[in-house]
Amino acid sequence: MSEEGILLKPKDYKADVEPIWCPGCGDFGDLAAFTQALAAMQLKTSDICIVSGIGCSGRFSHFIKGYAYHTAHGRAVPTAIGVKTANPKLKVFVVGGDGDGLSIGGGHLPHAARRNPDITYMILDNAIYGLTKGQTSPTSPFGMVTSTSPTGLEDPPLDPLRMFLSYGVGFVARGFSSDVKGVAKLVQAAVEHRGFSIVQLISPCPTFNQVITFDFMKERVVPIPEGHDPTDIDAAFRLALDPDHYYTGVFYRNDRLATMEDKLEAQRKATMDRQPRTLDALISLY
Amino acid sequence: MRNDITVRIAGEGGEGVISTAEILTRAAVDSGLDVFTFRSYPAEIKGGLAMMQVRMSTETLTSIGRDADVLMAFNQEAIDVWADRMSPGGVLLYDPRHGTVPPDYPFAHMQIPLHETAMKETGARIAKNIIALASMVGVLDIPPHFARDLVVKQFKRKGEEVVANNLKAFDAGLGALNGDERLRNMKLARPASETRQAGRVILSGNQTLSMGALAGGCRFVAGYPITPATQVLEFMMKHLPAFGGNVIQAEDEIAAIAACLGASYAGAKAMTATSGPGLCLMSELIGMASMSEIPVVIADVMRSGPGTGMPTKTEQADLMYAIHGSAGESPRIVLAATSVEDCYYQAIRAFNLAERYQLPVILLSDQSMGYRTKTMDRPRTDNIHLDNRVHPDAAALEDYKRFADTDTGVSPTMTPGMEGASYITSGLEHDEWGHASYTPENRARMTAKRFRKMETLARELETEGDGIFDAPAGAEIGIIGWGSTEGTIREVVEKLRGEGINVAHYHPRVLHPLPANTVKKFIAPLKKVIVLEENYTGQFAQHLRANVEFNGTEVVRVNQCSGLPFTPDEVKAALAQHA
Repeated sequence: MSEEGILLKPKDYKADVEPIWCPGCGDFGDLAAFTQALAAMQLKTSDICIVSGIGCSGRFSHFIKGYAYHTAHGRAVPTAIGVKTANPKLKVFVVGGDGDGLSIGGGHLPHAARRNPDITYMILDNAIYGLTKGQTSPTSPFGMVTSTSPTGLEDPPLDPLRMFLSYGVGFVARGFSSDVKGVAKLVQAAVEHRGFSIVQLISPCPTFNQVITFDFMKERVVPIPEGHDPTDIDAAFRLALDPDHYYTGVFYRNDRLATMEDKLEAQRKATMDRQPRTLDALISLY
Repeated sequence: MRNDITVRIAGEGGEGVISTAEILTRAAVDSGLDVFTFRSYPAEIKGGLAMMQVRMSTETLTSIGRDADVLMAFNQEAIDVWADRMSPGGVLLYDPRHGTVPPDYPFAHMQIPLHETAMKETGARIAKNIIALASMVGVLDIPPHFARDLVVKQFKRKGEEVVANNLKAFDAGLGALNGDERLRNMKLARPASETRQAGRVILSGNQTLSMGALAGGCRFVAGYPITPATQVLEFMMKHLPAFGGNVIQAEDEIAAIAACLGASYAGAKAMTATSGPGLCLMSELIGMASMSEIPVVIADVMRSGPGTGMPTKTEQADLMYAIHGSAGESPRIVLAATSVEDCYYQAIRAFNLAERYQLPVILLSDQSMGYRTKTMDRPRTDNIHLDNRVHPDAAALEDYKRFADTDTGVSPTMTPGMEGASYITSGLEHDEWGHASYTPENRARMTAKRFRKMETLARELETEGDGIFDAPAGAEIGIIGWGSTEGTIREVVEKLRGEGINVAHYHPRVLHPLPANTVKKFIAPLKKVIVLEENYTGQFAQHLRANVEFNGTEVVRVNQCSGLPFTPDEVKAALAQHA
């Protein structure tokens, strides 16, 4: 809802800045889906805070109406934790690419999972470093030839879903950017989940990744079968590691984890019971 | 009878050296004496050599004083490392079971059978600490009941039998060194009033810095443990939540500063506390904070570097890094606290400056100041003025320019959650609205705007003054220092003044930006200026040279990076050498 009580449409969530992405970039689909999700939830633009990293995907935050912090490469997740802690009423999003989130930013993920802030993290995964013009990323496929793997990439790719599930992330989902409606639903579900939610969005780069293309993905993605119990972690692992299927949907959801906000509140109560609340009383302890 | 004495207790880390000295310190203060301590820790948890130095006086103290008048050595390493650093007339006390003294040792020395007495009186080796404590109380002639009461308090929890045992050890130790002529000179005069320290407190620089942060409105701390700054994180974790704030132990220093910037962006006054190696890790985001104009306070409790360096030793060698450290040119404010008391007030000031100028503020402290405890008046908690970031008025929201180019360089800012306008804050070069922009004209304009904030502050410092500017008429030589050397330099300058020798002294707290005109005014009438720093390359001297014209005044750098603070004797010697 806008401040005047008017129903906001997806286009009302778009900033006046034109995206800098190449025509055909997968990120356009994610952007459209995101604005649809925001409209579905009627969030106030003044309550939206997007923290983004560096890369083509990191520019995402410039194109949405609301507050945004476009920070350094790999550091969006801890930055967003700071934002959420200072003002838990904000709807905080992290947006970035696979390099930003899984390479330089990878070390922050397990700790975000442990803290479990109520933040939604969209990883726009194109399996390449686009902004720097075509180096391998942690999700680039084995054998891919790039400027930093001229004889073909020898390392196997990271398996992001396996990583997120292993870290204990309480909401793990995957989508495909050309399925705008589907992605919008996933994003909304992620926002509605109380706690740290990761949505990996396969968003092909037509300019620098000639292996993981739209057509390549279209042939492979298939929705998670009906009847999957997202609270079953073993089932989630099996789906994520299935060698014959590339699933999309909600893999795992754990609603029993305390959020960072809950825990900080508990810490505050416990501290107020035991420690002084005024500076004078505190100084007198010493 | 003497009014001033310096006692050192040294021994293996983890064996009670520091805790014994702490009780002695507390007993001295309870009896009305002023204290000024210095600690030297090993970097390990057990083993290595720990030493605590307590200077006690019937008068107010401002420095660690000279070398030891009494050194109590618990083991051989303590003798090996500290026995040569004695003041004239000093006495070494040592346990013959754990150490021997070389035959040609020049100072007076006496045996005290700590181990033997402990076993005899209590059957427990650890009682040697109580015996050491009591024997020092006897030597110094501090009325025993102060220390005795503290011993009872310390062991009350463990039951009557333990208390009785420890009192037995205490009483045995009290007379252990009595009657020895060589120690006659170690008896301290009684202070004018036993209640002289009543209403005062004993605090360390890390404690006062933390309390100052609370007073300054800090409501978010994210940090990572690092010697010697860990205590700040621990203090804030224990207390800040009761003040309505939040504390996070981050996974590393980069996450710590990132969380601080996020919290500050969302409206909380945020701080992290670290040391040199942590500051390095934070440098990218310090530049980011400067570019995206987000207030943040970064406390650097400096230790000896480089690399891992000497984590438990002191140094003043992060200055250049604090001023310049980051990619490109990013304005930030660098503040250096000058004493344990000053850590409190500079912490408050750091938050105010960060809010007013929307800049990162690096607050420099150091290991010697962070860990040293001293008696001081209670920090002031009333009438503390707090500054807050300025918000735009309603008219400005129409076409809100978050980074509006203003006369002062400071642009009114919205906080996420506020209605009426929103904006993106970015590390990319941006126009007044915050949109990425790379044109040469915009670039020149926005760079000038950001640096204008520093010029505005420098002008403010010129009119309001800052730190010590002591320029007696006729002085031909001056001394410039920064940070924790202030008390030591003051002690020497005042003593010389008493002898009719006038030395000028400049000791600023804001080191960057420099009020260049003020510095010029200090230097102009002097023939020679000594820049005294606990580092090897003379970083502040370099900074002064780069920003101020020295004309005819000769500049002499006096540097040492031993890991220990300058003593008044060393400062006096430097002045004598260059006068």
